[in-house]
Amino acid sequence: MKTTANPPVAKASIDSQLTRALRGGFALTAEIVPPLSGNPEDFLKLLDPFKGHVDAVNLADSAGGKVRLPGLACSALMKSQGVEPVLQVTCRDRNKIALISDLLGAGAIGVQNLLVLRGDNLDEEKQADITSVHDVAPTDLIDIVSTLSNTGVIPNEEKTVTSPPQFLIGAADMPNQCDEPWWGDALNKKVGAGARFVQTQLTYDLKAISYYAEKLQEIGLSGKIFILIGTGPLASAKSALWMRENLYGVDVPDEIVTRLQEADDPKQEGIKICAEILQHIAQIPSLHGAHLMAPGNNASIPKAILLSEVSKQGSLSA
Amino acid sequence: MSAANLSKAVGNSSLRAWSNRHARLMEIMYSAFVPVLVALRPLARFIPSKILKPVIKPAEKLIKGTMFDCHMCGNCILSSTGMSCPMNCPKNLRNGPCGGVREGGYCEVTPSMPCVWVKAWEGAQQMRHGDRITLLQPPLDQSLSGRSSWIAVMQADHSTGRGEDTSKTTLTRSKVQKSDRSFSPLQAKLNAGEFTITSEFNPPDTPDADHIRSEAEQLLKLCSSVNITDGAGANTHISSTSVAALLSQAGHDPVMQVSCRDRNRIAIQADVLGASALGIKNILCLTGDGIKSQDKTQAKPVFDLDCTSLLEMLTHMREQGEFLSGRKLDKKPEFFLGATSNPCAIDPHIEVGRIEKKIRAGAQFIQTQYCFDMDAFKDFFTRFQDQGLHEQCHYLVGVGPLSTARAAEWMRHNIAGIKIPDEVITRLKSAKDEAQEGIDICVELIQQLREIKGVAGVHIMALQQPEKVKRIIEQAKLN
Repeated sequence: MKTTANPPVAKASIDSQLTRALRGGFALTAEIVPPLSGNPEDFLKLLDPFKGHVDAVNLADSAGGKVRLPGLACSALMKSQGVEPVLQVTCRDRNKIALISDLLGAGAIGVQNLLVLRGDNLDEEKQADITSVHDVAPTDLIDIVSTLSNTGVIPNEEKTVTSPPQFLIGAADMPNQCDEPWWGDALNKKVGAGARFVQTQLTYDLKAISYYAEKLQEIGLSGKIFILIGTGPLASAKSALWMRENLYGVDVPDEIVTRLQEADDPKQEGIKICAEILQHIAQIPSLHGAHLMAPGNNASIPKAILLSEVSKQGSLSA
Repeated sequence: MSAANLSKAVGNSSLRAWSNRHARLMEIMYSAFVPVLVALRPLARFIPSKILKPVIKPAEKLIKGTMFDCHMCGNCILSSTGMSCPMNCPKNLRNGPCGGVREGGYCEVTPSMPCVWVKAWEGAQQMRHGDRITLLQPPLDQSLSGRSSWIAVMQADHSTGRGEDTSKTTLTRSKVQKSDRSFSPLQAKLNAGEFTITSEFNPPDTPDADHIRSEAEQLLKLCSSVNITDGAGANTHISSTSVAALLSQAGHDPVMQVSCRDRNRIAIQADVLGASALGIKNILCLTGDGIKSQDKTQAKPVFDLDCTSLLEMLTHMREQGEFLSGRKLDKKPEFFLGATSNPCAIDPHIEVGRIEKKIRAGAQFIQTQYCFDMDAFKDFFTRFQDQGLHEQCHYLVGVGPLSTARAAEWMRHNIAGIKIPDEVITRLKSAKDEAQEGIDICVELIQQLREIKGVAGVHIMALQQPEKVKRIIEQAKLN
């Protein structure tokens, strides 16, 4: 079992599988994009590969501005499925009233983990007919949620919610931006507003992960917040190159691309690479786990987890 | 507001009023002007937009800005809105007015401003093609904002801007009102022609699911269905989707209210799809209360859609299995769609036109604002019946108990769109037990409404007072 010097503080009132795993030293989360369907079965079958392997599953909020089954409905469907949700909330489609009312609803449904995001920008050509809302910025929303949780007060409305919902609040970060001059302040602000964990953009570079951990220490955040590094099994060299070109903030080192190109079974090689990254993360005391994403390749995620054997170091009794 | 701004506001709005009063003249001028633009088409083909734009756009902005307070939305529909620019509506309605028009035809959100849409209907009456106001307008295409509609007409190219009068939506329409299909028990009951009672549930501000459920069940055991309000009064309350889901999973058949104030079309489509996955069938579409300057929330009003375009979008999802963008759904959601009405609105003629549009957009049932004025109701409903509209939807009339004469007076002055006759207030004042008198008044109204052919039922609204709902139902012998 890995020891964490100063485990970050999470509210004692939250007792989710995710908080237990984070406190235990190593947590695993995964991400799914809900289906374009009103049929509950279509959603529930997406959960299958993750059951028993991860502590929580993130539910993307109409990613890319394309309508999907909303996280709130998915969270309600996830009850008694043995996997708990991380509800993703974006500021793109809802104003303050709709966001807070959804959070109260999330509380009633039993959601305990929240990831607050700005939301992907809409396509300037194809989706230009739609109003982007952005009534609040992610940091403001984190602040609103903390105030609501701690005091039951809805900001500006002078009214109090009885037994306010309690959330473990998360924020997103881009490890490859940690050299930008504004990075430290921006992340510190989110933590100051009440963020207790971070899930990062996809990272495939061991050195970059170590460097990011150091930078977190430099800005004094190490030990104040749980860090989950975003990574995942790559399906092929082609998909690695596509991600590098098209996904904002994603770097794939050349050596990884080469390894995938030269492998007889690129899918298996991707699983191996992911397992190595997971082991690397597990060895860094100031990191607390991984957030696994593999669009179209979800089935490889449990394989990578099993191969890495990281679950044995954490709280998961696999 | 500075003096310069003030004079500008006064100056412009009076010119805007003048243009609207002379809508017929504007129509003649415009119909003379369009051929000029069209005649310039060959020229426009050779002149690149780079040169055309700096000349035409400022001219359009100046002329339409002065005459109509034009916002250069690039979606111009002035000829279909009685020469009253709908962009001046604080709720961005493309199909108005809303149900909140104040006494004298003033705006719900900005009480000092005459309602843009009442003016639109008035202007349309003068115009030769005034019936265009009954066209269903699609949601605003935000991408065209700031572009010139004149250049669009000249270039006959709608990718550069929607030219005026291209007021057809891309959606395929199918007539599906009052259908025989029944997706929910509520729909089955209404289809069977039974006098139906619904009520309204304002969920408590708590995420405690058991508490919410037990409060709702007090009402649910009394009536066929309860409406779950969506951020009523521009205040934050628990999400209507989650409460409707809690109730639906407990075996009830709630009506989920969806308003256009707080979410854009992505979020609304996602939420109704989620509602469908959770077993919710009945959806009431509202534009939503406006956010007034004195409201504490400080939230940004979204109004990406209005209730009519929302209805049309949901009908399209159900009938064609497609989102507004044309993307396919793998299963068609089963919705029973409703809309609101204000039978005691200041102008029954506009109200009939407005509801007819909602029915055309897909409203299958209607639940109304509080009705206390039987004469006003009958005046409206006769016109409604004359058009045969009572046969195309299930019309449930909103009623409720007034608690005191003071409360009634407060409502009359503060809730836009509510009409309470003086006799009602006098009756309350002279009663020994004001609360009981309020219930009696409500019961009498229900008994009168029951006699009217085409009234499908009543929607009883009694904020947080289920025991009063119970007494009303017992006294009116509805159970």
